[in-house]
Amino acid sequence: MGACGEDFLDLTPQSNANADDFYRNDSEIQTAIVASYSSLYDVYGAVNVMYFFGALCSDDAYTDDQGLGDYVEFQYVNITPSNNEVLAAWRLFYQAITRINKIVESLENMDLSNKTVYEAEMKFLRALYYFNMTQIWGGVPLVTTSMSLDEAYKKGRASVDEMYTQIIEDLNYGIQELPHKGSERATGVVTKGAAYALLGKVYLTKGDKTNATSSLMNIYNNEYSLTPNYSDLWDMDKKNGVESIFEIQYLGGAENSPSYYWAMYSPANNAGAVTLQGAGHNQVTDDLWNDYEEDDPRRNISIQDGWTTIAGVFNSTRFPIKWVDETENYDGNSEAANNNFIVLRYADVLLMLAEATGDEQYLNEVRNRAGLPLYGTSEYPSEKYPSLALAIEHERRVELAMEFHRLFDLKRTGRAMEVLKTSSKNKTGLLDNITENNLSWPIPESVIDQNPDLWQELQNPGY
Amino acid sequence: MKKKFCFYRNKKFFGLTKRLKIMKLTILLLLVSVTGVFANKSYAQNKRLNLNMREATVKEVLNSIEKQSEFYFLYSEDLINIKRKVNITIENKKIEQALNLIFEGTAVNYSIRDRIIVLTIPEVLPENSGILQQQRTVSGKVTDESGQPLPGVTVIVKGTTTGTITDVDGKYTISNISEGAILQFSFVGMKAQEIEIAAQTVVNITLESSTIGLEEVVAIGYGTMKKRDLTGSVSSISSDKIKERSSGNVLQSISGQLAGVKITQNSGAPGMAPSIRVRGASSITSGTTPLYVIDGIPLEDATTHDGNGQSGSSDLGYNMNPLNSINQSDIESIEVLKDASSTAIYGSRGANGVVLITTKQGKAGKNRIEASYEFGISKVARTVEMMNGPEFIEWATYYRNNTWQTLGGNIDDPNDVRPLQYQIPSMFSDPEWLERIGQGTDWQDVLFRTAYTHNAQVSASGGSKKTQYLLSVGYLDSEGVVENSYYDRLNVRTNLRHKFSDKFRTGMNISLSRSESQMFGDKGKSDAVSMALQSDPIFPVFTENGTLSHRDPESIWNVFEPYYFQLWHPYSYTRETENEKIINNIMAASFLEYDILPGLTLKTSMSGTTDYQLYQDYRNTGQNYGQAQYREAEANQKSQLLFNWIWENTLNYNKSIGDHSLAAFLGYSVQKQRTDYEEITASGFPNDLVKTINAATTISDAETTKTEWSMISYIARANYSYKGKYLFSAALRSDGSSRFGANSRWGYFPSASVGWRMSEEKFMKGTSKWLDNLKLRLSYGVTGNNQIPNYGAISQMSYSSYVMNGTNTSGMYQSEYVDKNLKWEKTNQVNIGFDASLFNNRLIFSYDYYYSKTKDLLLDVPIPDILGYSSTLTNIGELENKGMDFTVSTRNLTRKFKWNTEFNISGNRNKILKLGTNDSQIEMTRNSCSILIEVGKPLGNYYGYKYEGVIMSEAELTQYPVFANSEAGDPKIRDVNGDKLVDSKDRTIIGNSNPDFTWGLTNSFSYKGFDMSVLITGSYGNEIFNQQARFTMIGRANRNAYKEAFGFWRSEENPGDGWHCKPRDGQNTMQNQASSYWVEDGTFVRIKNIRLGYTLPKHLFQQIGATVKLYLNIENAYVFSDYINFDPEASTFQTGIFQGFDYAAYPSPRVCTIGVNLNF
Repeated sequence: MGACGEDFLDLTPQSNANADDFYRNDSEIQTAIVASYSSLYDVYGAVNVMYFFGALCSDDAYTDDQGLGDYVEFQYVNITPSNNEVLAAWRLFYQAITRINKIVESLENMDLSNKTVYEAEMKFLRALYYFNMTQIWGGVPLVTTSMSLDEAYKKGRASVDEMYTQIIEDLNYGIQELPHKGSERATGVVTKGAAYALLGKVYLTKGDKTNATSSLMNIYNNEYSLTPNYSDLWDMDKKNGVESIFEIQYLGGAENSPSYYWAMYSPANNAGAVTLQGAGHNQVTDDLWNDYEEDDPRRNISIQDGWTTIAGVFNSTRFPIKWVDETENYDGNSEAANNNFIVLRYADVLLMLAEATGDEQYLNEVRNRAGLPLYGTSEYPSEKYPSLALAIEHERRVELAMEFHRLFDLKRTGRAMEVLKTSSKNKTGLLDNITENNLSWPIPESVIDQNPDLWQELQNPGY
Repeated sequence: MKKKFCFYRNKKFFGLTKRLKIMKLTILLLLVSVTGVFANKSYAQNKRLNLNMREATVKEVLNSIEKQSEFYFLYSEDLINIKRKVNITIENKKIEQALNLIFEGTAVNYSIRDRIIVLTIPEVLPENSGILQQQRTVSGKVTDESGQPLPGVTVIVKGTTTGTITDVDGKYTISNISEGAILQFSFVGMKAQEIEIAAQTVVNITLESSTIGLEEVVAIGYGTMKKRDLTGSVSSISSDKIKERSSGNVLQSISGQLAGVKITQNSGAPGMAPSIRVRGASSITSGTTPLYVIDGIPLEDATTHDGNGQSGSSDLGYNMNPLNSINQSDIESIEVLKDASSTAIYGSRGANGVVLITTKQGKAGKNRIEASYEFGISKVARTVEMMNGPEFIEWATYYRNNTWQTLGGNIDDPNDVRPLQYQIPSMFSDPEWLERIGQGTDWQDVLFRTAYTHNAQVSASGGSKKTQYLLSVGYLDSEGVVENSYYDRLNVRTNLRHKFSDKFRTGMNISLSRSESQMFGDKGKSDAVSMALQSDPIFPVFTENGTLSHRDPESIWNVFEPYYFQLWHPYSYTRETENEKIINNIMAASFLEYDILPGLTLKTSMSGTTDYQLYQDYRNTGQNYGQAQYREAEANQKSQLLFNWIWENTLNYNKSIGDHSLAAFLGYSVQKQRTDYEEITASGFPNDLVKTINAATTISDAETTKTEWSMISYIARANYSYKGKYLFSAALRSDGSSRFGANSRWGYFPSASVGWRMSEEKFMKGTSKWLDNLKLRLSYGVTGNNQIPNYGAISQMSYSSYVMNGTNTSGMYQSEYVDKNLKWEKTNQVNIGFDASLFNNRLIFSYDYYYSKTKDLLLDVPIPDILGYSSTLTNIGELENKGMDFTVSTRNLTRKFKWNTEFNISGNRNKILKLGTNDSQIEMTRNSCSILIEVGKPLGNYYGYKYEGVIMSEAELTQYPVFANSEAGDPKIRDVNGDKLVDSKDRTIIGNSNPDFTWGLTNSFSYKGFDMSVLITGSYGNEIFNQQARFTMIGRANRNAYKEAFGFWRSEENPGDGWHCKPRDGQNTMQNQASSYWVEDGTFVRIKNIRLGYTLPKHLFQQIGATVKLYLNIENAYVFSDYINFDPEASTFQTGIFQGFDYAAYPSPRVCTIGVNLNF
């Protein structure tokens, strides 16, 4: 009576592809690479790890979101190992890295004409993620190949040096294999310039100003330049402009891949006065607002000074307007906006060059575009920013405001403690007790719980 | 009569020395089912017979008559010589003429009633009747409980061989009876009775059906068995225990009536299935629902059980219990297979128990029509006490001041230095406004209503010896107690049986069900019921403009708009949005059965089930300002088409030789299910006139998916009994499933059990006066739980897009880390039990103890995140369940006034033995509330802080450890680990969702035409995690709170009741953390059901031959419970691990029903 054979039981998913039969040819690899880029939407998302660390933990931003204690921990730089967003961030990075590793491994045994370019793009993204992780946590488990469950349980942290060795190796591969901007295989993918810029930033962060300079000089006055109008950077008709080095690509409309910076960074519950609702993230502190020089045009391009409710009541909450999209794409609850997000741009490179070389000319290129008095001239507010270092810190703050750079910058320059403790966030003394330890996030509690024997000793100091 | 009986040829009746031969099982079925015989003489008068037989035995002639007609013969083989040879030739003659010829020259008398013919001979004197004095003749009539005559009842004089059987009118006559003799009346399926003869000459007697009789047949997997021969643990309930209870799902009606079967009504939404657990939960993350077998078709409860069972009717994975589509009054019996030896026959699907549903079949002989109508009224029995307007104003003022202080502000700060959410609106001190607000609005009053239910049934059944039928139609129209929610269902069923010949049979069951419903408030969080509790009472139902809230910019109430007050208007939920869910379910089953040899039967059956769900909703533009914010119109449509087919082939062999009887079974089955799903969301409606998606300008989301599973099974079972005393059973099933990994595709599930009917032993003879039956049972079996994802062992790809070259481009990535060896969860269970009945079945006990250990638990085990995935499904955990089920039933009074009591109690203890690598504990959180799964502890442990009241003063802050940044008036939290710090390490177990024991008690009474029964159920020792408390017990986000919380701490001088902390919001306040403050005692006693019936005197309806019964039914009459929300059984999670979490589930109403039942 065995009317049905064993194949009757061999059912494979019909609405999902099967991973055992994937990663086999150029088209599938390209499809996988697309998904790998899409991790950028998470890592650099409006309410995600780069925002939490770079902006919310800094003196520039606060949140009006009434939802979660996790956000408040960031806001007051008092993060606990049980913070769910810290765990989510940890997972996000490793999910992104796993997608990359899978592609890199699959490419090894394949013979594709674009093989090295694909590999270089993936290694750039891997370097970007590990670099961010190193700044946020210090050394983390360094995973570059697939591994077994057992190996994973036993894997501990790499040292910061080991992290940098891998990051630099991956970026150098990119520099070697990636095409220049203009000849990349698709708008928005990684280019040689991006690898140089990121490598420069890595060296600068490491404290290796010589190598930082030499890497950054490869793109100085090359294919990139400052866009004449600062506001063009967020003009949706001028995406991927001359200043853009690495830019996350969005397309408005719920059915596409929209960005949510506009919706998330609008005042909370504004009920249609600004956006459909608004989440109140990345709200601008008085400190940031006041750090703009009086006639700095970038301030009003970047920040809106309060808003009026539909009942006509003025609310003085200031919020970012770099990513405004009035084209009315909705996903039902929020604006499904069209704005891109720039990770690396030429102004950043110029300011890094100024920092690496100690040469104010690069700083002044940026100030020149803003139409502000140059550093070194008498009109420069040197009583407020008496050293070049402080001038660069100030310039980065206003030039790159709300673009997730602030705490990374302060941590790199060692100024974070001083700045945070004198910031308006500390007016009730909430930041009195934080130390340098608080500038590295804790390893998430659940990571430690999985193998306490290994991990309890590996937790960051202070947690 | 709704019992099934089994009858063996050549069976000895207890105490009857003359062997009585009754020809057909069907006759008994017929007779037993007779309730209102129409006098129909016309058949006997009209039917013409043809016979031409030579040298045939009387038996052969009678058989021949039975074959060509619908007549049945009833006789005693020892009284009638059926081996006598006769020659008979008749043509076109009536039955009387035929019988006259056959029995010509013998003493045989016959009587004919309709199609029944009873053959008797005049009473003969007993051989040893020495004493002749004072002997006389006794006669009488035997009837059943409904007053119908019972033909074929054996009547004997106790201790003699004198006896007779009753004729077609139920009449008997026995002569030569001495004074003091005892007459015994016995009949299959009826309780035997003994009457001592004094001076009377007429003894009329009514036999009761023996509901607990050992001859009763219960369904077991792939067959039936007499209760007497059972060796496993099976709970059985027949239709008379559920009649007149008009539940949408029959499980609601059997709740509390079966030991070891915990049925919990988590939600009172009409049409909502309760959750069911057989002997505790044997799984952590996989399904815990039993397998349902409806007329032989195994169907899984497809309700989503990913642990996130909180959803509402808009989710098509919700409330998928297969019994939802069954009309309760079509059900003949329900059996729940509990122990592993009983469920192992269902192999990889048996570990959570098996519920067998048998629907009613037509019975040969007479046509019967039954009709009933019910009208019901439902009302929320317990509302939740919330703060009124003035109380809320005080609460909100404290909340705002306290929170402002938390942020560093000062209580004396004027409004203009505070953000709007911390300002005290000037209206709160404006007498004109305070008058306008008054006592405020009770939003529960607005949301709940008195709801009405109509339920009508008609069924017709009957048939001939060859063909039997049952047709039934039912319509249920039930309103929910939440405004505008309803559930309507139409059921149509046809069951047919037909005999081609004595050896060859066929049959089919076809049922169609269609339900239409609209539901609000069934999702818990963010749905109407929860939101009505949280809405601020200060707002009116309508503004002066007729709009729904202060968000209307034209209204004077708009002055409140900037202050972040909360209102989710019930009218907006129930009138500004609409939804409809349609479910069409068709089940069709057919079989062919052939007797290859005597005792050897081959059966093949093919069944198909299709279930189509269509869900549509629409949200009006702006919702008349009643929602939390202005939202554009949106429409959503989902549909799901499920098709399941099964082909089964079985071979059954039954053989008795002397004292040995053997039953063997072999089976092969193939089953496959496919589910197709689609969903469309659309927006951009020009207005609210057309609400279907053709009017939308934007399709914002659309998807279709399909999934399948398949299964091949081989089944074998053997039962052997020796003298009916020693019982053995063994079974083996092998399942191959598409759900399992390629490396572990086949599973083997053996079981064995033994029974010993001790009461049959010689050494027990001394007890036979009072002990009717004593049976010991022991069983062991291995079962599986295959309720895992369909493609869990195949690493799937997910989609993720990125914009390349300005174009949205689809990307894919491996989304799961899979275990290629994934397989079923395996449960090993031992069961020890006994059954005893005493004092002529007046007292019956049943007790079972079980221990089960589940291995290879499918756990979504956390794996190191550095693998790129945070968890993987693997077979790694172990847990145990042990417990006992106990049932006792007594017949307290058995004369005219009858009183029966049934009581059951069961307790289960659960312990986790192993979890993942390193046994890392698993914390699972839904909406701030967590459960902790850890080795050595039971499932369902709530995890959080231990709340010990309020920090009463500034001084106390330094007297004991407090949570960081605590203030006077904040929660006092126990320093559990004693490290002098209160922090997240002090979280501990603060409750458990599993009761220590549950029980049910039924008392039923009857007197003349009246009957009454009262069912009381209870649960002891469980806790409820009240998720609603995360807003309504503390001050949070401007929502209303429980009236109880009004005793909150205001100041050291005015410290309140010491238990309720002050309202204060802030991300790190202890108020916002889950603690035992939110956990409540779940113990309850519920008067679950009261039924009162009155059967109208028969003579009133004699002319139309009907029985008419009126009844009153009260469901959920009263609950004794301290629980603060609506119902202690409430759970917003239908399945999975989060049961006991209540986020203001849809209240279970009190339902009063009156009904009338007509029987023709």
